Parts: sequence; structure tokens; C-alpha cells
Amino acid sequence: MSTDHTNWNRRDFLYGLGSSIGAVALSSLLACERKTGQLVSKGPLSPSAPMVRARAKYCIFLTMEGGPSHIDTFDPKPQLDKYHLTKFQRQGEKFSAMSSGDRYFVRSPFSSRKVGKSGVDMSEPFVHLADVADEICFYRGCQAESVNHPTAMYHINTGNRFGGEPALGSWISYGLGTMNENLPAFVVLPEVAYPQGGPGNWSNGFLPAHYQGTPLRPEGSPILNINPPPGVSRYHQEESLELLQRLNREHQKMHPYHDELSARIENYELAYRMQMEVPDVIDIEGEDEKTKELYGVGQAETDVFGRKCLLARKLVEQGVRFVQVYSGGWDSHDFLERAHGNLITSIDKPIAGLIKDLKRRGMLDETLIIWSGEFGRTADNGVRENGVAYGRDHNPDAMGMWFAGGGVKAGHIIGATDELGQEAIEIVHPLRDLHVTLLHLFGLDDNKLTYFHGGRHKQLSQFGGQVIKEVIA
Amino acid sequence: MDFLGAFHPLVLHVPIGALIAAFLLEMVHYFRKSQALDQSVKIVLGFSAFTAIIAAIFGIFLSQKGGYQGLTLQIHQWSGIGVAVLSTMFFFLKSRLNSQSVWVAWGLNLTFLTIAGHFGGSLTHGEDFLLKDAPDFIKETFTSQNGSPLFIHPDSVDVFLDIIQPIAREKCNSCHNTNKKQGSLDLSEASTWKKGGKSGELFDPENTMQSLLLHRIFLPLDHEEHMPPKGQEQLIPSEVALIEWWLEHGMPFDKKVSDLQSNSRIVQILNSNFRPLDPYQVITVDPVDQSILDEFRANGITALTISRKSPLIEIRLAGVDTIGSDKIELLKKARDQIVKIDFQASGITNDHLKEIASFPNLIHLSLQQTNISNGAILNLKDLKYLQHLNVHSTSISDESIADLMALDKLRSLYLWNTNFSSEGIEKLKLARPNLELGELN
Ligand code: HEC
Repeated sequence: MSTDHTNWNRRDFLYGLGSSIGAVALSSLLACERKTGQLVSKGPLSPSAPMVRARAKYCIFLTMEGGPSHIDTFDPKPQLDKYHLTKFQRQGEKFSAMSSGDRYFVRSPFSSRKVGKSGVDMSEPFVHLADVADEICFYRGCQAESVNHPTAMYHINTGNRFGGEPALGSWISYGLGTMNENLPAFVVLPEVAYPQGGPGNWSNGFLPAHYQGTPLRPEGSPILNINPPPGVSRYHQEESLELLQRLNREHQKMHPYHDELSARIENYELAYRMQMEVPDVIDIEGEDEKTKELYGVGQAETDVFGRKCLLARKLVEQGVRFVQVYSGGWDSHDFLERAHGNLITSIDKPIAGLIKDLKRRGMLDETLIIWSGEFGRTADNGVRENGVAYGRDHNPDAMGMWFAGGGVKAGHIIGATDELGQEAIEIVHPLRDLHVTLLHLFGLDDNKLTYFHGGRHKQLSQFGGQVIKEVIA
Repeated sequence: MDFLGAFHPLVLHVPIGALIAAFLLEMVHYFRKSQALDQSVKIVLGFSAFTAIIAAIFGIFLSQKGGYQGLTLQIHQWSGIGVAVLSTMFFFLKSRLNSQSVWVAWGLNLTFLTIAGHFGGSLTHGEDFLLKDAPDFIKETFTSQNGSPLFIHPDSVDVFLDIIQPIAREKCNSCHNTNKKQGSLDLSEASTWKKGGKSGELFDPENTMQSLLLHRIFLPLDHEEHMPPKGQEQLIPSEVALIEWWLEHGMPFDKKVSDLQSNSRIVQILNSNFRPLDPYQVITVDPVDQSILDEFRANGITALTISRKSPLIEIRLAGVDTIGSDKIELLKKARDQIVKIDFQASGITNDHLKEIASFPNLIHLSLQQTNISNGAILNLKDLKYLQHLNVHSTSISDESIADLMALDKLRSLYLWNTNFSSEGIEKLKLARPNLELGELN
């Protein structure tokens, strides 16, 4: 590659133009310290209008990693009492090692009741969520395809079981940009232990690197090194950033097609802007006590998830498009009552608080909340350690999920599973239809939101899907 | 038979084309007499007669299958049969007609064809199929002006004009109108409703349930006096409930829904039938020039159209401390296009809001977490599409109740964390039961 400026070809020229405009943007940003979240430059994350008018502008995806049991949460199966501990054998090529062999049915340790005006089902440990039942649209017809955690996680998060593809939040930021250029468009609030599959769950895949999810640490400072080290003044920092950017751009001239490099340049700019914006946003201590109490912040069982939900609200309020909040450990192969019971308690109040808070602030209309795991659980269990264990196995054929806010049918139950909860039988849709529906609520058409990669125009659903019309208000 | 019937829509186009082709040939023949042309007219005419008969037979099969009924079908059926008969007769008798009668026969034939075609179209595409996509001025000439008006909220619906009259138009007026007064009853307008029929007035204030109107509706379907008569399209339960509700309130002709007391069933029916008109679909404006959006952006204003094709614009000024009057002036460049402004946590003040009436198409206004105070709401009174107002975490208080109630298009109002008293909120709820206030239960 020639760096002789008189010999520029068209490509070099275009890329050169790109980087010099980037430089102008950076220096103008460095020049004026703006405290506001407003946009001036037109970068890859600048907001753009949806394809059609959108029902949802923001998404909070509550991801229950491990596969929560639909049977013990929102899809009760009283018939199981009758078959409790009844033994049977399941064999055949179709069944995984996990679901074959000697098996027995397991009834739910929890009773269930109908709540809200709409009379939707919730198991007993959900106490606070019952207050907001009429805001929720329960969907029982979804089916996953994978029985293994990492592949199933990749599937629900990226549309592809093998990973390496862009996550939901990346696609949405690619389609719509962010409303606040001082913050990332896609933020992830993981557990201390990352979910199975790791950061691939919020990867930008083949999309430009600007669209990757930014994880905020659940403990300590949410973003490492957000503040300049002691002794470094703002002025120093600007100077060294300028130098760094200049070197980067020199380097970029030699690698004009290096998308990660341009993302890095962009990221430095974003990081610099974030230093001003982020400390305010992520400081939930500034919230009033009543609000913290609403989310269960400060109470031992709910503090961790409550903080994340509160933070999610603050991020959305500031214009972050997509916030994914993880709760881990739902993989209850045994000790169902204790494991699921504790987990339900840990999310119950925070989620109810989140819905109430969004509602009273007038944000629920435009914010779509999704609650889901990567798959559901079976009505039966295998023999574990040579004995009976009160737990459930992985079940891709039936799962529980729900939506609230942003354009969904509040107070409804859509679809159904069979009488034991083994398989979805009404309004059955594969996960890709969930993805298509999600994009649809954001005013995006899965078939048109594509990115040319590896020789074809790729899309979130992989090869197209249907909108689940029944869940849409 | 059903199977053959299904081919009716396919087959019918053949005789239409053929008949018109024959007519065109006839015209050419008129100017340029030739034996060969006369012969071709006959052949094509014969062909159209034959296919018209088949189309008519298939059409009768299709009508037997059901799903179509009423006067439109009758007219279509008989004019269609007319085309088949006429063109057949024409084919056989043509050589015996003199040249003048040939043109009369053509006229007759084509008239029947047009009638059959038009009513057939109405059957498949709906009564207004021709005008549906016509420019507005043509529509205005052809459709009545008393069609359903634009209402924004179920509460502002006129009980007689918007609820009762449309039901009657659909289910009763075919027999009870100005020209055809079955039972001496005309149900086409308020004055004639009041008059009643040959047995007297429709409404009996002494005994609502035994009123002539309800009595006839509640009679068993098999009873010969049941209305609408058996075999006609019947009232559905929600329509009966609405009529009953109307009579229970004394059969008033000049009341709005909000004037009558509604129970939950009525509210439910009304909400599902009278979706508040979507202002996003009503507001028609031209798009602004891209340069204006760029100018907004350059001045720190986020501006987006609500979709890639829509001219309507949303503005976000959330968190912007300095909302000078220059910014508001700038926004006025898109005054008609702006439907939403988000001033959340910005430096907006009551003073700035004096200018807000300059944005006549505003649907959505966010003023939460700002320093606005009670006087602010008064400025919003002329915004005729304002549906969503967010003032949470401001100092707005009970003093603003009257101003808020005056915003009659409002559908959601967020008052959390304001200085409103609980009595104030109760008062508002009582006055505007359908207003979403963002509280849970
Ligand atoms: C198919 C024609 C037809 C339709 C449609 C029809 N009616 Fe009638 N209606 C009649 C005939 C015929 C009479 C007179 C014979 C009788 O009294 O039953 C009549 C009589 C009445 C009378 C009694 C008038 C009087 O003073 O005796 C009432 C009330 C009435 N109709 C109400 C209705 C209402 C309300 C509807 C619509 C929901 C309706 N009708 C639809 C044919 C119809």
C-alpha cells in the first residue's frame, strides 16, 4: 500500500476522508465539554428513524440464565401432582442423554394462584410481581432448539446457536443508533460469573465493532478505569488522547479496512465522553430511599438484582437502547424448591419495582421488558446420584417467557403448553420468531435489517421468520 | 358445485373482454364496412354469449354457497343473467336487426354489463371500492357528509350519531328509511326515530324494557315480529347492549358518551369499537427539508422522523440545560411536522412554554424533572392532538387541575412525584375515568 499522497486511489481517498472527518469530530468534542447527551456528529451510533413507526424505543431484557422452569413460575401444571414420582422409561435416538433412561415425574413444590384483574398464573413465591400482573403478557408457545446452555444462550442472544454472530442489542443499535451518544447503545449487566458462552453473548459478531455490548461490572466500580488516575489532569489526558488518536490514525492509513481499528478510535472518543456522563448515570446512591426500597435495594435477598434493575432504568432514561440484565443459576436439576424459591425471591421485588417505576415515570409505553431464559424445563427428572432428586431437566420444547410495556398485549396469556408442560402446543413459534417480533416492535423489519458478510446478506433470524402477532397489542 | 362456483371470479372476465372486443369491432365495421369484419363481430359475440352463460351459472353456484347477500347481490345476479340472456339473443337475432336496433341492442348489453360489473366489484371489494382510493375531492362529491366524524376519544363520541345511527344504517335502514317505511317506521334520522311507527313511539319512559324498540329486538328470532326479521343480518349482542343502554338513559339524541353513565361492559364495547383516532394517521404534512434536520443536529437538537417514510418528527432535548428561545425559534422551522418533544430534565421553563402553541400537531410532550410550574399547563390548551403529557417530578399541583381537565384529548398524564394531593388526583380520575395516570391499581 502506497502512502504517497499523490497516488491515492478512490478507496484510499474515501477512507482518508472518513478518518479525517473522524478527527474533526474528536477535536470538536475535545474542544467543547458538553455535559448534555446530545448528538452533533453523525457517527455509526447516531440515531436513525425506524423503518416503520415503532412501538418500543428501548428494551430491558431480563435474562434468566440456566433455564427457569415455566412449570414452577408462570405455567402451573397441577396434573403433575397426580403423577408425582411415577416412574417411566424413555429411550430412543431422538432423546438426549439427559432426557432418556429411568425417569419420574416431579410435581411443583410451589402452589400457584391467579393474580391481577386478568387472572394470570403465578407461583406462590412471586409476591410483588402479582401487583403488576396486568401489565404483563405471558407467552407459552415459544420453543428453543438446543438443550445445552452455551448453544441455547447463543441462540436466544444472537439468533445463531454457534455464536459469533451479533447479539440482539447489536442489531438494534445497528438499526436505530443510540439516543445518547455519550453512552453506549447496548449495555449488559452480567453476574459476577459471566453466562455460559461468555462475552460472545453480547458480541457485535460481524457487525462493526461499535455495536458490541458494553458490560458493566456488578461489583466495585462498574467500569474499570473510568476516572483518570491521580495526578493526571484533564488537560494531560486530552493531550495524550490526541497523540494516541493521531498515531492510531496514521496506523489506520496503512490499514484502511481495519474495522476494529476504527472502532477503537471511536471507542476512545466514546470513553472520553462517557467519563463525563457515566458517573452520574451509574450512581444509584443518588436515588431517593423510597425508590431504592421499591427495587429491594439494601435488602439482602434482592439487593444485587435490584441494583441492576434500577441501573437499567437509569440507563434507559438516559437514552440507552438495549440493556440486558442477567440473573444466573436457574439450572435447577435438584433442590428445586430451595434453588428456584430463592431465585424467584431475588428477582420478584426488583422486577415489580422496575415495572412500577417505569410506569409512573411514563416510560413503560416505550420500553419493552422481556423476561426469559434460554429454554424451559421438563416435567420429569432423571435419576441423579442413584436417587430421586427434586429437580428438572432442560427442555427446549416448552419454556416460559413474558413481555411488558412497549406495544405488547398487557394482562394476557398467549399460547399454551400441553397438560404436563412438556411441549408447547398452541401458538407455537421457534425462537427466531421471537427475534423477528422483537425487531418488529422496534419498527425494524428482520428481512431488511441485513448486513453483508461472508457472501450473503445476514439477518438476525438467520433466514426469516414470522411476527408473533398474538402478543402485539 | 362450490368448486365450480369458485371459478366465477376467474371466468367472468372473459365475456367482459370479449363483449367489449366485439363492440369495438362493430365500431370499426361501422366506419369500414367489410364482410370479414361483420363475420368476426359475430364470432366474438357468440363467444362472449357462451362464456357469459358459463360465468352466470358459476355465479349462481357461488351465491348458493352463501356469504353474500342483500340488494347488491340481487342486482349483480340479475344484471349478470341479463348480460348472458341479452348477448345470446343478440347473437341469434343480429342478422335480422336493422342497423338502428343493432346500436340499441349494444347499448342495452353494455349497460347491463356495466351494472353487473360494478355491483360484482362492490360484492368482492366492498361498497366503496371505486372511491376508496379516489382523491378526496371525488370522494366528497360521492359520499355522504354524515359519515362517522373524527373522534379522538370514546368519551367524546356522540351517542346517537356515532353509535346508534351507524348500527341502524347497517341493520335496519334497508327496510326503515325515508322511501321504504316498513311498519310506517323510518329510522334514518333523529326526528323520524322520535316519531315512531304505526304502533306508536319507540320509547316508553314508563317501562323501558317493554318499549316498542326493545320489545321487537328481544322477541325470539322465530317470532314473526322479531327485528331484524329472520333471514336478515341480525344485531350482535354488543349492539343490542348499546341500544339497551341508550334507552335506559331515556333515548337521548344530543348526548355524548361522557354524559351517560356507562357500566364496565359498555366501556369495554366502546373501547373496542371506538378506538381513539390515531393522530399519527390524521396529521398530514409535507416533509421538511433535510437541511433543517441537519441544522437541528448542528445545534444540539436530536431530531428524528417517526419512521423512514413519515414526515412527522420527534425532538429530543432531554438533559439540555440551556433551552434558549433561539432553540425554540429554530424548532419552529418544523412547527407542523413536530409531533413529540422530549424536554426531560432540561432547562425548559414556563416562559418557553408560551411558545408551545406554535407546534399545533404536538401529540406527545415530556416535561418531567424540570422547573416548570402550575402556570405551564394553560399554554397547552390549544394543542388539539395532545395525547400524552408527562410532568412527573415537577412542582405542578392541584392548582393545575382545571387546566389539565381542559386538555380533552389527553390519554395519559404522568403526575408521579408532583405536589398533587390525593384528593386532587381523585378529582381528576372522577372527571376523566379513562385517563391513564401511570399508577398501578
Ligand atoms: C328486512 C326488512 C327489515 C329490517 C332489516 C328491519 N325491519 Fe323492522 N320491520 C320490518 C317490517 C316489514 C315491519 C312491519 C311488520 C311488523 O310490524 O313486523 C317492521 C316493523 C318494525 C317495528 C315496529 C313498527 C311499528 O310501529 O309497528 C320496529 C320497532 C322495527 N321494525 C324495528 C327495527 C329495527 C330496530 C331494525 C334494525 C335492527 C329493523 N326493524 C330491521 C322490516 C324490517
